[in-house]
Amino acid sequence: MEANKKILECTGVTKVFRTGFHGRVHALNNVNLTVNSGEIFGLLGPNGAGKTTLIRILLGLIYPGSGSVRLFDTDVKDHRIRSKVGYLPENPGFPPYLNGRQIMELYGSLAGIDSDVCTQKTDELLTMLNMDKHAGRKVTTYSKGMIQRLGLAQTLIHDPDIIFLDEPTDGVDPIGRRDIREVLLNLRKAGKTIFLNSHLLSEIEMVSDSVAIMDKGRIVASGNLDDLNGDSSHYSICCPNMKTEHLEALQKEDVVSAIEDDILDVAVDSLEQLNRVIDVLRDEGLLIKSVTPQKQSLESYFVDLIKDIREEEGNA
Amino acid sequence: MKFLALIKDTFRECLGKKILISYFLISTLGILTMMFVVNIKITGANAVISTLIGNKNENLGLPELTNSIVFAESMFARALYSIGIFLSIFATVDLMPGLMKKGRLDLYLARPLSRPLFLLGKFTGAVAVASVNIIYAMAGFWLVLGIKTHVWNFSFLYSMVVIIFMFAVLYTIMMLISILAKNTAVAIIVIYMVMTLETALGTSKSLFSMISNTLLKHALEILYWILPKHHEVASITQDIAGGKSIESWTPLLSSFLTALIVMNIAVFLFSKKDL
Repeated sequence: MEANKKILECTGVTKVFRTGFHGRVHALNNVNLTVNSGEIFGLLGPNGAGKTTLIRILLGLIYPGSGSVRLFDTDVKDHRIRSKVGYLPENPGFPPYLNGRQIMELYGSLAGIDSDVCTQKTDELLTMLNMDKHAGRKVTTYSKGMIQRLGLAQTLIHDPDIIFLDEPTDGVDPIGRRDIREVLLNLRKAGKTIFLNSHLLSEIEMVSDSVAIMDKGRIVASGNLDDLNGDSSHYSICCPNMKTEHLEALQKEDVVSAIEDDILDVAVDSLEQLNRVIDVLRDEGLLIKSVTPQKQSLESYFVDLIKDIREEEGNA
Repeated sequence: MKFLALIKDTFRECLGKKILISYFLISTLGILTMMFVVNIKITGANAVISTLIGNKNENLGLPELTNSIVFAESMFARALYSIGIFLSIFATVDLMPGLMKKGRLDLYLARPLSRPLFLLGKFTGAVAVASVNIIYAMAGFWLVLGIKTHVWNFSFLYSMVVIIFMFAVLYTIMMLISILAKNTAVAIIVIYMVMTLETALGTSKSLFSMISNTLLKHALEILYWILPKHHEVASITQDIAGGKSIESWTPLLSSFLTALIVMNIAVFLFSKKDL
């Protein structure tokens, strides 16, 4: 598949749920979203932000009140488009009377794949997700982590181009999480697009190329991960044996924002200025151990953003 | 292929929930009982000693015996109609509401599968499960009676088509209720209410003309025609099994039309509804 081609386009989507006779909940409010092929797209937001509703609309499982969703340039209402889509819901309700292998076989058949291909893919995927030894067991005997791994396997049974994962690592132990992360990265390498909804911000940060942050049914921020949490003007310079007097030479540059132990935090206007700072430190006879660009973690960006929104709402 | 996968899935669900085995055991128990209750000895060309459900007849002529057997089979068919449909409804009523549980339906509908096809596949699966059991019970009874009496009444076998048909008609209502209410208890209450109401209306149909209130009279008549003719189809089943000619096929036709309309409403709602 052509890289960076727009494959998912969501325009002006709103959704209102009725609660009782008169109650209404605005779950989504004018949501606009674009996902390109071959990327891992992370969807973030506090509980009740409308993330799962959005995913279910993107898959055609529920219908928007207004707006449109196009997948691979086809209206998502056309069920045939789902041959290119894999989906793992937040709480996958696998048929309790089936074992792991039978579940793969069922969803493979429903996706319309040949039974021989299905058997072969089942073996491959169950082995890849370390579920081959448990394939003959009923899903009711599975742990949460095993359910999630089987869930991931079933999304891939028909070799989809885009995969929607709603909290895929929920309940999975750290080793299992790492395995799932590796699978996601390998899928991206294979040209697949992944739409990832997770409340684990660090996880999204580790794998996503771009993200969107939702709050109260709206997209409040979106873009490339580096654009959101990166600030290329801040650096940490590690100089062992640094003393306060060494910093006097830097007064002219007026860049020092903090100093702690051997770490000097600087805010520069350009790479040239950063190099000038390094030159000054070296002229002072200091040895530079490392220069690290400072990045705001996605978590702190997210927390700050939501806090600002809440404050604005409070002021209004 | 997708359609067959849905039917297979329904069978697996019934196997997993031990519905099929329970059905099989109940039917087998009935067949075995029949095997010991019916005792026929042919002692000569016309001399027969028979014990048929407790009634002992000695020196019964063969033509009379045949008539007795056919009559008994028609009564069995009517009893099996009621028991078979009751058990089938009970066994399959949870299939649709069970699918509506959070996270389960999503996994089906996230496939390249249209909603009408999904619903029809699940409907066919449930009817197929009921059919297997009805066929097993009725063919078993027919075989036992045939071996014991040497009377092979094929009309008895034809009557099972009507039983399966009536189950399918009632199952369309169960599907509609399941889509609307997503609740097993509501589905079972509504279906037994429909059956009871139709039986009451069917048996007292002749009294409609005596109702003076025109509005009430028309309302009851409309209700009678809307509801599937469970009670009258039972009589048709008995007549078919007894080899009698059928006076009117209208109850079957009317029930078929009801099922068709209900199924269309169910498909429409299922296709439009947020699930």
